[in-house]
Amino acid sequence: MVRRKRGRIAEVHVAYIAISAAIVTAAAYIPMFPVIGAGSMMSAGMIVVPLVGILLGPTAGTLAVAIGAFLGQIVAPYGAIFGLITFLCPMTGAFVASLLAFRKWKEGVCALGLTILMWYVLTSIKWAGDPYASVRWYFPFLHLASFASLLIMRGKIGEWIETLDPKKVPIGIFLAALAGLLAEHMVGNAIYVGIYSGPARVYGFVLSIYWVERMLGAIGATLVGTPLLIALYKARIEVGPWSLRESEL
Amino acid sequence: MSLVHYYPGDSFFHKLDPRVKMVWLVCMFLLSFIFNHPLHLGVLLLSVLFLWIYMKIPFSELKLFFKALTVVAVVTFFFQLLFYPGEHPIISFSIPKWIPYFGGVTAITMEGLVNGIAMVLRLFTIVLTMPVVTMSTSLEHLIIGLIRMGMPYEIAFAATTALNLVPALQSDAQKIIDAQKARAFTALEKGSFKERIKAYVPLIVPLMVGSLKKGQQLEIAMESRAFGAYENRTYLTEIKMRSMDYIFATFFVAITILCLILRIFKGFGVFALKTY
Repeated sequence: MVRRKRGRIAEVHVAYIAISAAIVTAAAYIPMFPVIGAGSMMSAGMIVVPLVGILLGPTAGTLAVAIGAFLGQIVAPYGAIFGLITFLCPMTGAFVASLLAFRKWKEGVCALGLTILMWYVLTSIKWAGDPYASVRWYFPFLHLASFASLLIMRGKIGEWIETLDPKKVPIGIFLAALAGLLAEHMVGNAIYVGIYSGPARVYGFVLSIYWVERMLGAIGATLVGTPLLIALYKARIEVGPWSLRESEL
Repeated sequence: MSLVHYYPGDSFFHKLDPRVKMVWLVCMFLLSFIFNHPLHLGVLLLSVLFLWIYMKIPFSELKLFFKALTVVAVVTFFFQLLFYPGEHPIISFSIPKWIPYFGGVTAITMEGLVNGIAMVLRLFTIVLTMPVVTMSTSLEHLIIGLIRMGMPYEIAFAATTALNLVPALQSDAQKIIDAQKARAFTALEKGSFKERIKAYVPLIVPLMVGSLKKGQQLEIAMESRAFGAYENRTYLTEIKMRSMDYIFATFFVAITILCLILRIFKGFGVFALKTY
């Protein structure tokens, strides 16, 4: 039976949600590397977003990232190029990563699959008649590869993360973070095509760089996430998949 | 110093209920989305800029936005100009096919030019709209407005607490960087690409562990004050919808619906040249 405890959302205390949201907002100010062609910097938020999802779970983690990203829009509105709905991209990323980390792999696969489907449907409509529209089929190659890997791994990702074994945790975090970052990317691209009518030909250029950027984000999340998860467990801080599992028992 | 820039004033927009401002925000977003004609988007952008000036928001703020958006706007414009498929060429030329990404472009079309202008106008409208609300409303009122619109108190609490914690976290991050520098660890600034990526580990791990430890303390403090013990909360500041608020909310919604109907049935706000 699910009990609603006061001051908690999905078993996570509001204090952790607030702190995590603040981390997401603050991380947006830590520059990582430049985005070629966009004139902007990729921030440490790229590392933090999937990690917050992995630590707090599908409800609390997604909520914390949504709050943090929304506050980021208010604090630094010039970066919110999708206006009101900018926060939806990191929110989706955290959601997918958290589902995979919390042993809800079927839902995680469905969520990533839905973002890919959304891309195909939207570009089919928006790029109808565009001579370069065929790029839409192979553009999400890494997303499809991640989708396939999740189907092969099934529930293994969550299990590996929960073991806290330094050999298994990095693989689990990498796969969960990569899937989350790719879902975030797919939503961002779909919004860009929807709002700014991004022409198909632009995506030939994006195709050659996005996979590097996403892989680097996932590697960063793995490098940070592995010692972080172990440190949090040793510090007895009640976050992470193991904590939720214990509270469910 | 507050992270959110709020400029108090007594303009009619300042006095509007935060809920009405949010209705306006959503309406503006929808309108900028349904129009793709530069003229209509230009009118929307001018209305937003008029509010910026009318509310006496310092010009330096606007300058900051234009500076930050210039590169994105230029990239968006040129991508549309060169790659948007069209049938009405203005300038014909030929970029050799061997040039990566741009090879094979043969003309700048009217469709590309108009769409480029429209998308830049849309970008500025979308980005400049939200600050009109946040810079004319105190955070306290904004949060109460959201609660009155149905947002659970726990989420409002998390949002305000997070906003108050951001400067402390930024300060913590700087302290960690300084501590690393004191030990001659300068990979974040001077390291190679690989070293820089690795350098985020000793920055983010202690930052997140330290912050979540603070979360533990915050949890204890909240529990000891019986956070969430009562279903119905009272607030120090109350907001109430006045007749003027209802009139403006109805006006914004009515205009949006009217534009949407005209857009669907009469092609209002749609660029007339047939592209495909």
